[in-house]
Amino acid sequence: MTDTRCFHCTLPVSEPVVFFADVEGTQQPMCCPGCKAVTEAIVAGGLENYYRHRTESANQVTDLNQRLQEELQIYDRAEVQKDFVRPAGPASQSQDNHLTASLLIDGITCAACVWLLENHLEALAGVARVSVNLSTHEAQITWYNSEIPLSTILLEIHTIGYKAFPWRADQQEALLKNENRTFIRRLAVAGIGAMQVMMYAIALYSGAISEDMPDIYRDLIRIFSAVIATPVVLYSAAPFFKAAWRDIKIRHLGMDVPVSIAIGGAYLASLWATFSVYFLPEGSIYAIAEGSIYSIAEGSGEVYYDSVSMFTFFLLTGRYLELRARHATARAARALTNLLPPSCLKEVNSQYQRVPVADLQPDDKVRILPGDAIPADGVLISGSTSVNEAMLTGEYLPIEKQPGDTLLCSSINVDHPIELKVSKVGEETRVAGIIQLLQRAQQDKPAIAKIADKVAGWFVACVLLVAIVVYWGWSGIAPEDAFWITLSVLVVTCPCALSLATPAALTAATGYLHRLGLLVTRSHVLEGLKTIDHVIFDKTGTLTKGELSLSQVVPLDNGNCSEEVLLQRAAALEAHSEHPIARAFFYTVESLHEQAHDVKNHLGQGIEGTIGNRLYRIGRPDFACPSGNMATPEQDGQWLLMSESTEQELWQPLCWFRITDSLRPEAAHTIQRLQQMGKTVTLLSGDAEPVVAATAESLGIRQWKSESSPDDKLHYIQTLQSQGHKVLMVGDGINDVPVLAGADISMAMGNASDLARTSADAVLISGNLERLADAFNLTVRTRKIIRQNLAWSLGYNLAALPLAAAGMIAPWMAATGMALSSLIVVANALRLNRPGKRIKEPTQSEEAYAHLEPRGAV
Amino acid sequence: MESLIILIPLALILIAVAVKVFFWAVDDGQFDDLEGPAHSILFDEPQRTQIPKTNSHDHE
Repeated sequence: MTDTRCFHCTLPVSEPVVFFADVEGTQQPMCCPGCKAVTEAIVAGGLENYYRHRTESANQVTDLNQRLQEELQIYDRAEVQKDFVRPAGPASQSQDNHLTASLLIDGITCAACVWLLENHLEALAGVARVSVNLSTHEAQITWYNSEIPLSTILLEIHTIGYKAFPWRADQQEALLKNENRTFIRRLAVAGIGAMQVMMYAIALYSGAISEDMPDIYRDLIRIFSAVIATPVVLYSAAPFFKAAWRDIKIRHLGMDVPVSIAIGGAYLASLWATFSVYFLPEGSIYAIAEGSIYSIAEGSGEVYYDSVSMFTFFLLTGRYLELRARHATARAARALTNLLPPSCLKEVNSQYQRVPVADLQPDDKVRILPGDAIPADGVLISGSTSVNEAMLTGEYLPIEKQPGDTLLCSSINVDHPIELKVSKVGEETRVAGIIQLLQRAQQDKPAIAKIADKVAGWFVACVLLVAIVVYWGWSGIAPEDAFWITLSVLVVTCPCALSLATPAALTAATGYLHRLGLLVTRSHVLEGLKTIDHVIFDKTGTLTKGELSLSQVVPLDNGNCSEEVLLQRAAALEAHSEHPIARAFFYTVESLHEQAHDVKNHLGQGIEGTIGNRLYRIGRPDFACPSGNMATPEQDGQWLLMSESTEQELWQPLCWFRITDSLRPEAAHTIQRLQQMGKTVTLLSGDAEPVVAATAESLGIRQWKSESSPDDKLHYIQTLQSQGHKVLMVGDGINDVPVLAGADISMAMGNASDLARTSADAVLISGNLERLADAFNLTVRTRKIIRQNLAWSLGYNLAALPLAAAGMIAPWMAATGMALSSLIVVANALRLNRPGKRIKEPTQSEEAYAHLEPRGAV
Repeated sequence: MESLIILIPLALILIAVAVKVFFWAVDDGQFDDLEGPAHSILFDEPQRTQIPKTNSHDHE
């Protein structure tokens, strides 16, 4: 294994490097022709700065094809555009060709992507303005329709390695936007208000301490403090009151209850202290103040406007961070469901037209080109091909289909164009059945209790109890002070730090994981990972890369050619096929030196062609060598035989090629790490037993189960759960979806099917399994930080409680203490943002386990 | 001390203005993307680097 990595997407490139691109005078290594094309497009556009500014690597590029171009042209139609395109500029002077489109861009990883997109697109003639939002991945593009069609702009976006989808800003999106803006407003009111009230409070404190402030100024400052604090309490703190009211209605003591009692109580008491002077006869006030142990300033108790505003501001800040994380994941999930409206070629008046899949009816005839997904369940009526059903069954090798065979929706046509007669659409298809299974599994999903909620319940109960006891106690000793002292108890025990303890730590940890390439989309993941004791992997696409590669070449004695020459000839033949097997040869051979002529594809058999003056065949043993009964070199695995013939009758076997789905290089090490952490690792696969057994053995997995259907897998997990185990499932295909939904925590691979990604609790964007083990390590640290935070804030509150109960805490002490303890909690949580020692470990040992990679390229 | 009677209400008006301006900024969408603009200042804008060049040639 070498350190060479693709300059564009930073994936490892196997030596010797075949593709290079010229970047600022240097030949940079490239992993594939796609990345090379993109890099060259970026450099040709004068946008090399992208590579300097970017902080994350780009996605690997898939080849652009003719079909994409045709599909994008659908977007030039006015009736399609009406969803996401509007006239630019004011309506009065709107011209038909000056338009603005909202697009969602997939593949944005950092700010340099935004720069690249904006600069590349604005350089196009006819594009007026491009602005890309880094947080939401939304792009606004204004262009002149007469100069450039939208499809060309979309194609340009694809050319530089991103994907663009029309963004239909629907109700939910508008709701998110509205919520975000309202929250920022609340935050602003609380922040500005808190600053101003704090300034007045300093004057009040210094006046109280030096005891020379005339009452009229004190009252003036108090009244203005009240005026500023009122919108803070009534507007900014409104969400806390609403949540507390909801909690009380369902008889559940959450963190919002004490927060609301403290804010509301302190605010009302301050109002009373400020204005009662004008309502009550003068004598009665001094009667209250007389002999008071508690009151520092002479008068009718204290004002807490500063504490109230600061507290509201701190809490809102914490909630805002949570809100942003939640919105980011909600958007990520919605982005997945907002993909291209699937289209297909339907026969209309004996011509094929591209129509949306939703328009299909049973008995329609549909033409499916190689590489397309099959749009509905149906029967093959003309043509024969092979079909990849990996997303449905986990079987990665294409399955042959002849006329009369059934085709399933969502499988991929591999070889030839075919015609399909639709039998079932929409809800009735097999895929829809799996989705129903998913919904059932989601309902049965076990809930993971959150520690913060547990602590909050106890804490609230204790505080309320103590407050009642304090009030009761003081009303016996000094009835006139009981209310103020009880209030100061509530203010001092204000669970500001406590309510920030968990969200601050979780937000920091989630952000850190996101940077590592693990996107956490459900909040319970980080807290739940700690309890997981079973980790279950799917095989294809999860532990393996899900693509075929050439793992072994076994030349036979009777051929006199070198391995290199044999590979060259095989690759020359396979260059004429689009089968996944052919791609395995394409990636193995650097460049083709020989050309094959008169190539014939024998479906499900192999390929035949002429190289030089000899006829060659490659494919199944009985096809390549019809006369002899050739035994494969080993029992398991898939073997291809290549043979040659000079005269028509005699086929001379030359060489065996072994094709496998190669394991992810980090899989073995990840599983080793998980097992060292004491997790039981299980392999559940729909594949046949020998393949699964071999995979399990090479990865050191002791428990495995083969040939399991989605139902079997779900049952397996539920059995484990009924035994009290907590299960984490990692998978990628549609067949894994019900299991993902049923597991305590589920994780989908970054290249997983859309459905798997949306139903999983976390998505491994980087596709690097090591991140899973890192996440477990981070959970341990997060848990530790949360405990420290909880211990600190509880300790602070408990220490302050007796002092407040004894009537010895002045409001400014309570406010300072509260602010300090909150800052300590937040600073402690931010330590999670730095890579700890344990997180660094895997990158250092990457070389160390490289030799474990069992099947490298030949 | 008497100045407080003018200064404090004045501060209140300033706060009201500040909040108003902030609300306008929020409605204007300036807080919709909190990450992108921080980076965009680092990127060269090709148009700006080109225009001064041609100008300086003219003067020479």
